[in-house]
Amino acid sequence: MFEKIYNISDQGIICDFGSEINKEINAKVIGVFNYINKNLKVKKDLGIINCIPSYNKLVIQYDLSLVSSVSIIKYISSIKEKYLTYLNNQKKFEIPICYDTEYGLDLDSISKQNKICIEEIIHLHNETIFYVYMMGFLPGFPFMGDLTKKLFTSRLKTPRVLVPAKSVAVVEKFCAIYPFDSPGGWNIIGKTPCKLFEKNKKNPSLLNPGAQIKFKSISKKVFLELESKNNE
Amino acid sequence: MVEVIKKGLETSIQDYPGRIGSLNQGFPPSGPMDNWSFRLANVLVENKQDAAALECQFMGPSLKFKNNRIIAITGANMSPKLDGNPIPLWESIEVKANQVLEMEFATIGARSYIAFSGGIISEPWLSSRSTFHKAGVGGIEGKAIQEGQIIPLGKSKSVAGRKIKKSSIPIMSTNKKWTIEVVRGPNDDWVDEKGHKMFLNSKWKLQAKSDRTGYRLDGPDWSFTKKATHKGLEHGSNPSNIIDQGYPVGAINLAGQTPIILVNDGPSMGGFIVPYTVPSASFWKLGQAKPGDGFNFTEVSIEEAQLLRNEQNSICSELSIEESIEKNLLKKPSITKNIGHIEVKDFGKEKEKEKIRDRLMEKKGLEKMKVRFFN
Repeated sequence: MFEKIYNISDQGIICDFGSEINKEINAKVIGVFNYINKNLKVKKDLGIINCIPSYNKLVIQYDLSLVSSVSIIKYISSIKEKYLTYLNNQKKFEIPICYDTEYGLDLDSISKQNKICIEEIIHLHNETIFYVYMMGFLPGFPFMGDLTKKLFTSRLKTPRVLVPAKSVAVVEKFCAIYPFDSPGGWNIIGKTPCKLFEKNKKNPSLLNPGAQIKFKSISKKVFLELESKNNE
Repeated sequence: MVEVIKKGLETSIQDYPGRIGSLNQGFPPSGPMDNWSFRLANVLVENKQDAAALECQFMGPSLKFKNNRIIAITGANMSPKLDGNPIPLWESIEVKANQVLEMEFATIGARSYIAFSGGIISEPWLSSRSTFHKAGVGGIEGKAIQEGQIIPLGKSKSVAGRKIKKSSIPIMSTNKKWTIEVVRGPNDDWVDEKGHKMFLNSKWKLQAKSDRTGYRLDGPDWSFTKKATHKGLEHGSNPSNIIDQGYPVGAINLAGQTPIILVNDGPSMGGFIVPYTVPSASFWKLGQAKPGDGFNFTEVSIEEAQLLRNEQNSICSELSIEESIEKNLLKKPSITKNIGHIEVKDFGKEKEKEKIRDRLMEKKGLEKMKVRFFN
């Protein structure tokens, strides 16, 4: 299952699952991540303090005062594919999105660059069932895929200093939602009234790796109503 | 309880090891930038290791005490005064109710730590009190402390006059130059031999645009291997781009040609290569460096980085408290003393030898603590 497992710095391990980005490889990453988390709940003495899954890698941070890198690597290597239960618990979400050009700041430029009309961009984005590969960059920021080739774009030449919170943006085959106002270089196609991150909730982040997302197009009127409701 | 009279430049509540276990959600550990000094401050006032204390950045705050309290100040020297009278660092001190603690600009180092006996008992968030202002969590209302705020404290129980042994205090740079240890990897094979030599032999300057998220460095240009210049589209267009991956704290991120050391509040992942990583035993140096300071990097192996880490952990404990004269008189004289797993020989000849070795090693840009370890 692992292509390579090796040390980084004094308290880190990288598990490399392969060099591509695809759902099969990513599902294994998430499977191992879930397996370790389940283990951590019963065995506090594992010494693992952080696990970061990405597309094709799992970075593990451990506490050297509790455990050695040799025993962590031994533990990771002992995890077999048959132990993983990732397929059963994929949560599904429907997220409202408003594609009005007031929010979809880059719809025009994508339309020109990809020679495709705005209605078609919206249609293609809206019918995609997205898969959350990983969370990160910012708290609650999901990296979702896969977009159709017709919508592939590259990053903005000069990233925006401020992308408004809740903007939905695309780059290459990926789609993301900015949970906060943040600098960013992705192409913005719309905005959601949903909160992706609520610090007072037990699970502050709405989405998790492995979740499935479908966007639901809403009018500006509905967007404004939902947003004012969410801000109450 | 303590009232904030002046907030200082950025004084924040932090705890150690910070907000761990949430990096997969994008939450960095936060916590003190110089955890060596921070941990010793808590040791001085007999707090638990995970007690929260204040991190003062560049210029410290003024605080008024509502009750009697044992405190300790460590790290950078911000010339602390109690009711106008200078007080020492690295020592537990008794403060009486209504006394005012004032701090100024840091003369040596960048970050000073104030630990209060009983610890700060602000509301924890995701099991840590550490402030992470980007997401507005931890600390008081998710921000650095503000004037007029009351900092809630636990029950005080320590005593004044506890001191840290001189040999346990981190030696801060007084000439704006720092030698920082680095471990190769994880993406060292994206940089060519010329690039590696350039990195390790060059002087780097810490940019003003540096904060608790990242330390940006100015220096020469990097060169890359074929892996970076001839690669699949999914790795991005710039040679320093890679498929997004998790970053360890201390990762030296190469953004185009600019190395950025990711520190306590840094991003959990991203699409830049990480040719080197700063090991955790050297984080304190980053915490005490100021913008404009010069860095050079010296490579250590993973095993050496782990030894340094273990030694720092044993220093950050009760073993670093200087024994009082009375206690020493009661004790039988002994020639060797065991500090954890490190043996320190305690007679003149050995000390002289150690000094010579220290000087030699300092020339090579290595730290004193390491010499003692490899004795």
